[in-house]
Amino acid sequence: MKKGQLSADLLLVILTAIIFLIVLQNYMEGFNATVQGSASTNDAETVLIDVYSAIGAVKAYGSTIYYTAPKNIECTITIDNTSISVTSGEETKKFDGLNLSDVSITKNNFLCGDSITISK
Amino acid sequence: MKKEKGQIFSIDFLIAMVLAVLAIGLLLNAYELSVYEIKEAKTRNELTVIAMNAGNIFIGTNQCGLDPSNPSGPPPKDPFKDQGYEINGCFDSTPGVFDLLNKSKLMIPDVISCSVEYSGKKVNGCDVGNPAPSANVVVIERVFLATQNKIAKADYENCIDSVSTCSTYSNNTLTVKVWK
Repeated sequence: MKKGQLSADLLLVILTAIIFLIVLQNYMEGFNATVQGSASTNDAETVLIDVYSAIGAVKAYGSTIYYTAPKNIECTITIDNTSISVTSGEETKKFDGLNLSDVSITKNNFLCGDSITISK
Repeated sequence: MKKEKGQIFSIDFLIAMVLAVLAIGLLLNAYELSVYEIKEAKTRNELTVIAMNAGNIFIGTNQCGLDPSNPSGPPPKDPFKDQGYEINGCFDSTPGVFDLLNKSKLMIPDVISCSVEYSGKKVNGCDVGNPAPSANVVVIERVFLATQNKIAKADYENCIDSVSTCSTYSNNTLTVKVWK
């Protein structure tokens, strides 16, 4: 090889490396979006399950409870006679088709971290 | 292997790059599997909460001592309440009372399929179908006492302490199966 001459081997390796890194970056961007979306959903679903369990306990045992919603995320909780929903950012998790007509709740629309009274 | 001046590319380097790519691929695969497992565990936890809740509501709704013609009214035949006792885990099996229950009263959401069975009978809305082989399924069984008769405290205590033959109640099994 002469002084100053660029070899084809080097060009091939550089080209291959660039293509590989582009493909890897695209994959990781998609993967990160999936993981972050999953994390946000997990938190909204966690709050939904928590609220659902509290109301279920009142329905089952006829007791009155003073319930404070978890505050690990910013969210809004909405309860009506047939559903419970938790909205966090653009994500909404909901349980439909419930019969909550025999349960009384002091606030039907409240934020995560707020306290309510649930009774039968 | 003797390298010529200016030579960068060698078979050794090629093999090393292939192995490096394979290693990165395996790592990403393991990471993706972890995320999948977490998602599956979350689904199973959700189904368990729903099944447990439905079982509690089932047994709590038709408590022993309730008037079957007015199940939401005050219990006229409740010798314990005046003394401050609550009978938990006891189900009034008077015919007709069971029919008042359905999927929505058991707080089972629309998106969840279910089968709730007691003594060969199924709750309305949870009485058809079986889970697909690929579905996530949770099954719980609750053993509880059932009676159609007025309950004397002495009978109740005999049954709890197994002092003598317990004839006041029958042992029953509630099976709650939910899947998604």
